[in-house]
Amino acid sequence: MNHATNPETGTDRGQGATIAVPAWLQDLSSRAGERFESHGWPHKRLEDWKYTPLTGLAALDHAEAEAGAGADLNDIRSLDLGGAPALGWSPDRSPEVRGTLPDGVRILGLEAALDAMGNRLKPLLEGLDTDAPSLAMSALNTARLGSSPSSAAVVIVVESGVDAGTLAVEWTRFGASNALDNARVIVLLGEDASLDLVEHHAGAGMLNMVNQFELHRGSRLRHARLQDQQASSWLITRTELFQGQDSEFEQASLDIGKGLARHDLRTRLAATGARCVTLGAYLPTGDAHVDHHLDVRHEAPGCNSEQVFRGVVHDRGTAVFNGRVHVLPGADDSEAHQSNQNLLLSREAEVNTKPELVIEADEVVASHGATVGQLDERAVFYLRSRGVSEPLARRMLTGAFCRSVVDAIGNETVREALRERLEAKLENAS
Amino acid sequence: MLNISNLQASVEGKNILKGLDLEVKPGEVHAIMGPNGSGKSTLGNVLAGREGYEVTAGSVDYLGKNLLELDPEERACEGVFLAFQYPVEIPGVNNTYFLRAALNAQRKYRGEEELDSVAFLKLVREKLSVLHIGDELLHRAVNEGFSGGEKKRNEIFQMAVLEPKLAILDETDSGLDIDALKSVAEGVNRLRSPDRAIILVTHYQRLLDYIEPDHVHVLAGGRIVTSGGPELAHRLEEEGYAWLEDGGVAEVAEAS
Repeated sequence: MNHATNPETGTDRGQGATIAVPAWLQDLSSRAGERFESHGWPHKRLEDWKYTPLTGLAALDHAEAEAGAGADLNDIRSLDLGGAPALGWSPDRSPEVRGTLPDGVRILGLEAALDAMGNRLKPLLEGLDTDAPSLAMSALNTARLGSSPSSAAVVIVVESGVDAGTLAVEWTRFGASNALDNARVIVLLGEDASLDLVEHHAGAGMLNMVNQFELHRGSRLRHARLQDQQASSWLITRTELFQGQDSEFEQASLDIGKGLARHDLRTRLAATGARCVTLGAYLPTGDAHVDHHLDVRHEAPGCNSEQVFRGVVHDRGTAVFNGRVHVLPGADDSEAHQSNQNLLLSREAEVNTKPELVIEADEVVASHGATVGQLDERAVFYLRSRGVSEPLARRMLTGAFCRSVVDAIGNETVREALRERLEAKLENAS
Repeated sequence: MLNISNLQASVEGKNILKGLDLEVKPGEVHAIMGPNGSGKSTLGNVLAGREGYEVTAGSVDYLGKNLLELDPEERACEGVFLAFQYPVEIPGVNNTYFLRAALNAQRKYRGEEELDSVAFLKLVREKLSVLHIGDELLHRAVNEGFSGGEKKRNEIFQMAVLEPKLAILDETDSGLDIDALKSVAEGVNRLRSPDRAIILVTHYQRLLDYIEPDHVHVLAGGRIVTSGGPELAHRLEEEGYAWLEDGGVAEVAEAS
């Protein structure tokens, strides 16, 4: 295997356990495959991928992938989520659930989901936008739907009125080959249902993931993501979100891994009273790269969105933040706030931040701000003048800078679990 | 305790201190007064080890050690404390957490056992009650959103917890109304002890109405131009600093 996975044939790991899919899905996949062929890998001439071109994926040679495969799996610790059920997933096995799911909660593999609710899934799967070249990875993901266990899809259904509690999803990647894995997670929340979904990405390898979340009236999804992957790993995620009336979405991303991570979020605040909060803390060290692209669309009046992102960039780390908030005509009385602040802790560290606020409605309350700076040396001296060592003083200040993001996570157990990882990263990074 | 000899220091290439001599013994309170730009704050910053202050000549002996060779945190661990003229706001760092980290760093340096949070909180509450400070500042971030008076009180509170051997108060009275001034002065007076020395750096005499110094020095042009007892402060209050320039300095300098 001297070349990267051929996107035409997908993973050539030989498992090939292609599932039986209906004709419409076969068509959808093959159309998406053609689209990917014509788009090609996202490259730096695309505005959205300027700082995170994935052309390297195509060119990645075996040796580099093997370097990443030095994954020490003993270092991977599951998040302590108080015994919440967990969906375990790795390229080598099909998804399986450990623990007991509450009544009214189902997790289905793609085949079972197509059987049980094909009519409901069809518009959702077909509705994923893959038209533009900047959406090439979504096209690739759709092309691979159901092709093998390493391109798995799950559908999580929470019935109306059910509080599903917390569900962990553990993505342990072994990086045993240079194959790019694809995954699709679909969450359907009925009216007034709620779920806390906690993703943990550890190990090595490459994953191209698409989330499709549907939040019906009055439902609440809190989505936390810990990315702690190893060097030479790639994680590409896209979250497509539909928010109904009075629904609440909170996404918290903690990126402390050593590889490349790209997160796209597109949400449609489609009915009155919907609320979308996205939180992110990223601490690239070494050669790590983290890129957040947000596209928040206020389509209905009286909705609320907030983005708070804090970055601490060490060594040769790089970070990108692009936060687009679009308040469409008619989405009056909306409220939209955005803040992105970054600390550059080395000469070679780099941040590119770009807030974009487009308001076409009336009576909108909006704010945005982006900063890139260094630690306040007056504060460092103040702490040292009281006896605190210089490394600890710097750690206290960097921690203070990004801790507020984790502090804002709504679920206490999740908050504590992520806080512990953040603290460990702060300790190691300094 | 502290012996400063011929201290010369510059900031951004500009000479500020031009041969300063000062001797401070345990238990003494020294006031250093002087007009703006005389080098008062530079002295405090040099003693605390702030970057950007370059010592070009002279020596500072503190308890037998060359103070100038020590890092700021080592100076603190050796018992030197600077109450800042402008305490820095540090959002996100809790006051209690910070102070415990500081105290434990100092205790560790001295080979003492670190205090756990229960023991620390007990100590802190004692100090607060002595200083008549409410405990709400414990829950806040260091100086964040504090009024001028609260910031200065927080400095005195930190000093009370850290129990330094040598405390330097840099214009602690500036920007305080009379009530805040009194309460800060009371805090300082409670910390007076036979084995602790205090240096008050101030522009105005009024702080000295509440903290009686043993010695008063006038700093002008980067040197101590005259020294005396508390009466010197009163003379400055009545006559301002102008008399120094009208030959007063020369008079004193010749006489000494």
